[in-house]
Amino acid sequence: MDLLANLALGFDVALTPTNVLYCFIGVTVGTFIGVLPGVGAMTTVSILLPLTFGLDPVTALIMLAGIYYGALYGGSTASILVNLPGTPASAVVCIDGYPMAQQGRAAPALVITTIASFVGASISLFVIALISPLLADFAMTFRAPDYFSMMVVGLLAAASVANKSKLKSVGMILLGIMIGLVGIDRNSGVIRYNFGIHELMDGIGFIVVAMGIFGIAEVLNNVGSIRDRGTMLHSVKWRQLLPTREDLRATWRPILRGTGIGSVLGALPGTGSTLASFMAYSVEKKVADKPERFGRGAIEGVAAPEAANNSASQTAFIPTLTLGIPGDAMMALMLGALVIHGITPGPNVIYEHAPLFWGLVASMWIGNLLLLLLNLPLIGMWVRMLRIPYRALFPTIVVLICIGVFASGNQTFDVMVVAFFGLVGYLLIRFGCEPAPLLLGLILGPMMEQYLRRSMILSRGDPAIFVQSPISAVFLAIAALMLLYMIRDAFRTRQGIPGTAE
Amino acid sequence: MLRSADFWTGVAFALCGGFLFFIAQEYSMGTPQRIGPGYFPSGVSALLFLLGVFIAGKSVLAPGEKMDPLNPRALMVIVAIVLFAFLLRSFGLFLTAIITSVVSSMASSEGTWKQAILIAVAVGVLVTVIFGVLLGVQINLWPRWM
Repeated sequence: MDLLANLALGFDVALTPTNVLYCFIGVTVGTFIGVLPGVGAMTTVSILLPLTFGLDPVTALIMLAGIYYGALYGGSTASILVNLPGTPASAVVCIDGYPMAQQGRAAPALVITTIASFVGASISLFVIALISPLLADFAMTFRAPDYFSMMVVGLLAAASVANKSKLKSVGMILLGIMIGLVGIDRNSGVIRYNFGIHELMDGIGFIVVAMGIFGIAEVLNNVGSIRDRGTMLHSVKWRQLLPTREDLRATWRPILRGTGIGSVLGALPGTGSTLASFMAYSVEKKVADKPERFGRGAIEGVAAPEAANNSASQTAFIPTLTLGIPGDAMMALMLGALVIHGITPGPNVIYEHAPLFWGLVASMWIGNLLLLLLNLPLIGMWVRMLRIPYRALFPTIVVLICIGVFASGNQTFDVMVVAFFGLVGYLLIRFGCEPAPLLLGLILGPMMEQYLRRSMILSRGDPAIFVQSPISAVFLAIAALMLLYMIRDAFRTRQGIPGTAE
Repeated sequence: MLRSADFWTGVAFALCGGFLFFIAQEYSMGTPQRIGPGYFPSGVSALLFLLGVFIAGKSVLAPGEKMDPLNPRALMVIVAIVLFAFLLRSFGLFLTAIITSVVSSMASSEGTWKQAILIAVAVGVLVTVIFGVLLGVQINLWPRWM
């Protein structure tokens, strides 16, 4: 019964006109930028975050979350129509979505993505409602050393799913932690790493870093490589917008499987929607009667990943909101938004800020409903958006980022910091490092220092407390296993190179 | 080796780690019971240093992927942002946005000057209306001398 009461409270909050409006703005903006290739949800959320300072925390989060899952939806639209994934999670939708469009079946593909997203969102809503209170209650028993070790696991998990070198991602985490330490130490009042620059006394805001290493670095990386070519657009035939019974029969099971995979992977730290959609795709290919159809326009290959990435994007909020451990860079940004709005992340959020928690959860269902109702009629508009050339887009993004950063603290100094991190982020991308773990380290670093300090006080200076506490010991064992796996992975690739040369 | 992405990553990590560790020694380490402001940064930067040495060392044995060449032209975007920071207070949002947009357009080899200026004026009008008029962000919209 608790479940229903909680959801009722959530819908009460989410259905106020203001929140519905911001939810609508969020999903619309999200779909828009999801459709545009080369503009990420990370950039958009960080530009818009400073503008939410004046809003209610719940309204702000509803809008920012809407951008996130709206972008996933828009990304799939671009994947299907022009074979250009707007977001990494939608890349897998290209494999079968684009062939469908080539065969003149763009409309059913788009409809199925919408339905799959909606079903995924609806089911994962219940997953969130069921699991979050349990997880929060469990986390209530955590003490400082347990939190510290859990954060170590969370960070290593984020690094272990990196596409490129996992060890480099660990380095990015460490770098992020160090950046997070700039400014006054809350405990001793000592100013660290400000290099004599007065403005660095308060530390470096995570929004500024996020806009630099995601927004600007993304532009620097794309500007030479995205060529504006005349894209072939496949027309959408309106009569086909209603899915055939055959399509529905073929997809309901893949949608449910995708939802299951997405819900589980989304809730684990470090995985997120990209991995979920790839995993759902490979599972469908394995269980299919005729796997050779995949890659040639199999509707299951569109439905399952789409359901998976949407449910993952929602269950990703479980660890973020109940444990204070963000699973990916987007969740780190959401966590940062909470902190900016004066809410301390952790298991207390679900109780002390119940309207916020349940309102956000309910809004995600409403947002998906809005996407379902709005997007099909708007497909024509999104198709036109795809024609905007990147050379017109990127100067706009640069200016928006500058204004966004300035607005976040009313300091032109912050704009210089964005330029710096843009350059650093660009170099790191060229070095083959992924920027996401850096942001996670940046957000969790200062918290880890606090928990380390508290643990050492608790144990009177004995570091053995980290293995004496059973919860912490389990986390550290997991962390050690992950680290071993990463080191083995690093050496395997080394040995793999002479192997392929033979 | 000198073109290996791993090698340069390792060197960069080791240099950052070493430098940050060196600075951290100025901060008090405290006692194990009451750790000081130098304790955590020393640990983290030491790890970063060791990891950097490991990655660079490994790349000497197996260079791994080559580094993608940098695109010097793209750096015009950085120039544009720095200009924004310097010009905003005196030039106001409208003009600064136009200048920033034109300068960042130079990062791309595609398109003409005319297009770049057209885009910039559109951006200038757009942000002035959205941020200045609709959202009321605290920025002067017009140059000081006007």
